[in-house]
Amino acid sequence: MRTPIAWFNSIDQPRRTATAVGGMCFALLLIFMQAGFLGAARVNVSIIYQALDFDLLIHSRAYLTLQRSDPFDRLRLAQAAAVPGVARVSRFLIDSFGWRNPRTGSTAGGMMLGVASTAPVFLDPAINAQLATVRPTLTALIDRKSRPSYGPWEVGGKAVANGQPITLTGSYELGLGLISEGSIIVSDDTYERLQGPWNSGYAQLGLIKLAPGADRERVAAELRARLPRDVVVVTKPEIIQREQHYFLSVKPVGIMFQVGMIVAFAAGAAILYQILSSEMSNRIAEFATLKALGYPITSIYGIGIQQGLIYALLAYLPALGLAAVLYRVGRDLSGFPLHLDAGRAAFVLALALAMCAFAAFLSLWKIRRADPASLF
Amino acid sequence: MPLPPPREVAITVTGVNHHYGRGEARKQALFDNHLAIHRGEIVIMTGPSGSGKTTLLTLIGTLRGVQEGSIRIDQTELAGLAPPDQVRMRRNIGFIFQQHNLLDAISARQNVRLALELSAAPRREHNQRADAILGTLGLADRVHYKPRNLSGGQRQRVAIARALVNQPRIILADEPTAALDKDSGAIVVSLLRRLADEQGSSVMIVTHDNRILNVADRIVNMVDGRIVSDIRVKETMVICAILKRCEIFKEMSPSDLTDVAQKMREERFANGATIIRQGDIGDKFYVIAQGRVHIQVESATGTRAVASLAEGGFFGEVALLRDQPRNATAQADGEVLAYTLSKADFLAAVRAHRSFEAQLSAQLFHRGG
Repeated sequence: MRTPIAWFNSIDQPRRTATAVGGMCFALLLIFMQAGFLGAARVNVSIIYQALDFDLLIHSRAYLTLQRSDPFDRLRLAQAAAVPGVARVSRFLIDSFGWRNPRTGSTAGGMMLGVASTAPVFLDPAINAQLATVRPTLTALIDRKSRPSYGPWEVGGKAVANGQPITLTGSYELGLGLISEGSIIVSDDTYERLQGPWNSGYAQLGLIKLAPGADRERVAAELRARLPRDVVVVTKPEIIQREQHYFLSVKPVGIMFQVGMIVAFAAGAAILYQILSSEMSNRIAEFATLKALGYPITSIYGIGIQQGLIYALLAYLPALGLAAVLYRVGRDLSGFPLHLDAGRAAFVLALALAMCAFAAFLSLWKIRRADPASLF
Repeated sequence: MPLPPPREVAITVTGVNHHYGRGEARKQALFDNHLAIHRGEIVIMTGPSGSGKTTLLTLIGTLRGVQEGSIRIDQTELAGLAPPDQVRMRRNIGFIFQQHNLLDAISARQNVRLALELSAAPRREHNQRADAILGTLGLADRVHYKPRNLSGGQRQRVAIARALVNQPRIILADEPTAALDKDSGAIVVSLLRRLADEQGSSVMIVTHDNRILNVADRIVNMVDGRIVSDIRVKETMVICAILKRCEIFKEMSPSDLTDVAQKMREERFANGATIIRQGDIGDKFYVIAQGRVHIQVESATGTRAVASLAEGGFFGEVALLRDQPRNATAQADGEVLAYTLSKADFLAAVRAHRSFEAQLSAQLFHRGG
């Protein structure tokens, strides 16, 4: 076996190696956290759509995001139902509301989802099964993952939404995270009572379920042709993708996370470059000696690159472990969907390797200058 | 007795100039240097610092590109050699640096292995061979030490082990014994001597260490970028020993003898070869080191053998002294090894050493012209 010079060089200077590895580990951990938040936020922004059961969606042409969706004439729902291939069109209402904390009397924000109590529009059968209980006006289901700012509540108990008393007839698990502090599901009648009677003529969204065997694209094209221009028809993957894109590229939060990742990457690369480059400088005579022994320049570059890789991998493994711990802590504390999946682990590993490549590229020119003739 | 085999030339330096710097700062470091180094020869280079010894050493070691002139190692011309070929060339050369230049992070054994790993040696022998040479250099109990835990002399010996472990064809050393005590220096020198004698390695040593001058076959002195003298110590000693047995050199003082011997060149002749021919212009003086030579004179009446000279005999002086064509033909009887002196050197020696002249006159008289 060839003597692994890069490895011996790395362990020969434990303090320097620890500095490099520590610095890079911190940078990688930052990237893990930023990527985690970003990924969680991505999942989070489309969480309501992901909980709903539909193939195609009708929304107003003025629609921006789910939280900023203009209502449209509910006549469009009837028009859509007449199109061949459409099995069911459900009216969906959504708006923010004020929840009164019964203990403090203060008001917390939330999202109110309004559906016909007969329409099983949720993917979670437990929610659909409870819809019948909200048929009486001023009854609601409550999200168990609502924040502590909602104060104490209990199923069967009373609560106050938008200043009006309601009865809680059941509960479900959704967790809106970044979007809002909590949510309730009510019938369309209750919704009109709590949000204003003018809603009766309108819908926020139309959830379309296709007949078995119907072609999604074909039906969507047909709907677009038949419906007036004040509404837009999109598929479920399209709307989810658009929501995420809007959050990542337009909203400052998404951009912030991305900038954070770039800064952490640059910091990691800079630390690695510093250490690698001073390591190369200190060993310049050794590299010249290897040249004099007859080692080709490529295998001497190899030593530098391997050393970068050793630093990167030594930093990556603890960063991965720490990230797993911090994700769990973050998930438990905030209910935020922080998950360490293989894709993200691979993504950060790729970034670590990119740091290594960057640092090696900048510091290896020193090896080229190692002059064996200067040894005499 | 068979002749010693003729010595191959390992390194040929021809007309080498070298410059450092560019433009205004351009400075010539080597001026038209010529040198031939044979297999198995140890050459010590001396000279003041800045005289170009090290530059010449790095050029021969392919650590620098040849700018002007030619350097051949075995059959390879170094001038204009592509960088990858330069790198390959270096693997045949063992370098011993003034600073030990060991890798700090790895053990003595691993440092020696660095050289072995570039060779064709089977991998499973690497450790064994590295340990063997370290043992030879008195470091058997230090194979696992890192350089920082070794003394200066021990480090230098590890570096020497690394340079010599592949038994390179050429060994280039810069002050190899400077950091060593007397005993270690002697071990290193005897190891170099053994490699030269047994493997036919050519060794060039730049040194100021007088203690090791006695190991040299030749001593090359450089001044201001030029080779000013090239003393073939060992060969001169051999020639002196032969000359001493010759009648005509008997009376010469040792220093005069050395002067003459230094100017002599070795020549070889096959059985039956004509060494000089009657009627030719004389250009050299011959002393027979080994073999026999027949001298014959051709005249109108036919060919007449006049003498048969054995080891220690000499011939060819008449034509030089009298500035005449050769008066006889000399032919090798069996293989012949001879040392020759050019006409100019011969005449100079005659003028310089009265005893030589007297002996020659006596011999001439004896031979009857």
